[in-house]
Amino acid sequence: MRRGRHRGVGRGGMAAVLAALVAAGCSRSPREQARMELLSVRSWAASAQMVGERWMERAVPDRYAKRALASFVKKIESERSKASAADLPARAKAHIVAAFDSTARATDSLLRVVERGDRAAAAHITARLAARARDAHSMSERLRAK
Amino acid sequence: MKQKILQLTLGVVTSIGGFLEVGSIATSAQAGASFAYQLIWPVVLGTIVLIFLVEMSGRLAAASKLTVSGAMRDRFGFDYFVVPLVTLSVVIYLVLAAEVGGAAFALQLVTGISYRWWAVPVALLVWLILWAGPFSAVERWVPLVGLVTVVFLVGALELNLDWGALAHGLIPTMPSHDGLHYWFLVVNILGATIAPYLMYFYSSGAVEGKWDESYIGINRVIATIGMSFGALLAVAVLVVCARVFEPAGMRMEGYDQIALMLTGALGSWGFYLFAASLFVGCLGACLEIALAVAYMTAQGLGWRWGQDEEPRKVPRFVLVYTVLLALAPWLIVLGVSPLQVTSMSMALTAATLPVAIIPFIVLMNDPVYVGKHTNGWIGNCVVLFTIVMACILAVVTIPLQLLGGG
Repeated sequence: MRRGRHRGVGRGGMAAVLAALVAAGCSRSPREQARMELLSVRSWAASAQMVGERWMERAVPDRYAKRALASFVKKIESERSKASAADLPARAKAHIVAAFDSTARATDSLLRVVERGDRAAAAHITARLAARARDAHSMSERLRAK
Repeated sequence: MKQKILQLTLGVVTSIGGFLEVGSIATSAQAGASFAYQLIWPVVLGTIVLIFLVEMSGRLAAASKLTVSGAMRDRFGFDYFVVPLVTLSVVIYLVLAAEVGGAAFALQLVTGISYRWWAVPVALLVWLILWAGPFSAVERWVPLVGLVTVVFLVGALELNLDWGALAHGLIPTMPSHDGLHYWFLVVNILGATIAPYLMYFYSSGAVEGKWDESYIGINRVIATIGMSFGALLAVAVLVVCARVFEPAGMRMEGYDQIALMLTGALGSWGFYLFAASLFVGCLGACLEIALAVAYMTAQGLGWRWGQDEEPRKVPRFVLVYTVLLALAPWLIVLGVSPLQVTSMSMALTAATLPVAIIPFIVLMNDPVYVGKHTNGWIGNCVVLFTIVMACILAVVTIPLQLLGGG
């Protein structure tokens, strides 16, 4: 009985060590973390842009576009808060927070335009979002190259 | 023979309800958006394993007239059986909550009313179908309505596919970026694909269908075609997302984003057909999961069971799925994101795989249960490989969920 219990503890211990090794081997450096934040900016900007474009093409209903954009604004703001609290290089952090801010503003503007049903204005804002996504992508690529 | 061919619907219903459901749609979408075609291999690997396990479940049922749960309880005793019963019931509850969330979200897409308001009506609808409909009706209608999910295949073929890159995705490769997220998705895809409740549901369906040893041949065909059909659709979802979202750098962090996948290729039809597919897939899965838990509990505890029986004749069997469906919507009603519930449930499914799969190696080699239809060396190698893989997944799942989930 006692031997069985010892074997059980051994297997549990081995599992914990393996799990810890996986976790340790996979932890991110501050530069990698900064790159991930920029990819998040790019993803949200591109998502809002795609919703705007599909709405202009009448491929998605107004109610979906409004709800999706409102939820994107909340998520971008939440990501921005996390980034500003994260342990990142100061200069990179400033860039990232500014990028989240401008993406949130552009997404919010798109939401208002959708609420007004103004498809012409939406084209202008989706172009701005596309530029935000490109900027974030090129910054993340620069970080990767370093 | 006609009856046996009709049994093919059991494979298709198992596949639609258990394969192309919210977990497969979400994980395939996330994989395609983040890594293009690079994660096709876990879908294929999981499908091969699943075909073998589902075939074994059917063979066990046909040869022994026992379901997987019944045979497990009979062979290992109640003290062992209670471990998978409790572990899998907890995980399956989360999977059911995710499916209810998926169906509720599909209704939000169409109506504009928040998914939180739809969770209870969805659970009620599932309960009503189970209460009113016999197993044969579920078998007949789910594959028919489920054909809408073929839209993912149409969507994939509408896009200009890079067939070379697609074929390259069949070969496991190391990620060029974001390794944590890559392995997190591998685990989730395997968890979404090798769902233990599929085996319990399928073997119970075979017993309800009164399979005998003459079904063992057609069982292979049913398992292979049914699961391959589901896998093809899951790969189609991945491929569409690889073509639509990956070039834009979009990472799938909510169903709001995933809902756009077919709009580029099919316009507004794509939007509504996506909602219909999500709803049908999740509804099929809800039916299957609720029944699987009821089957497993009733068979394990020796209660009278059967979806073809009148509810008043199998009160405790009905009580199990009633309680489960009464509890399922509340995570969603309380505002937990359906995608978060999905990710968590798929990861936990992967973590509990050893408990569900280890008994197979014993049962499928015991002539008392399967007579002369014991596993060949290929079947045993696949089960052993799956057990080893399941043990690795069980260890790495939680760290990956914590570190790679975002």
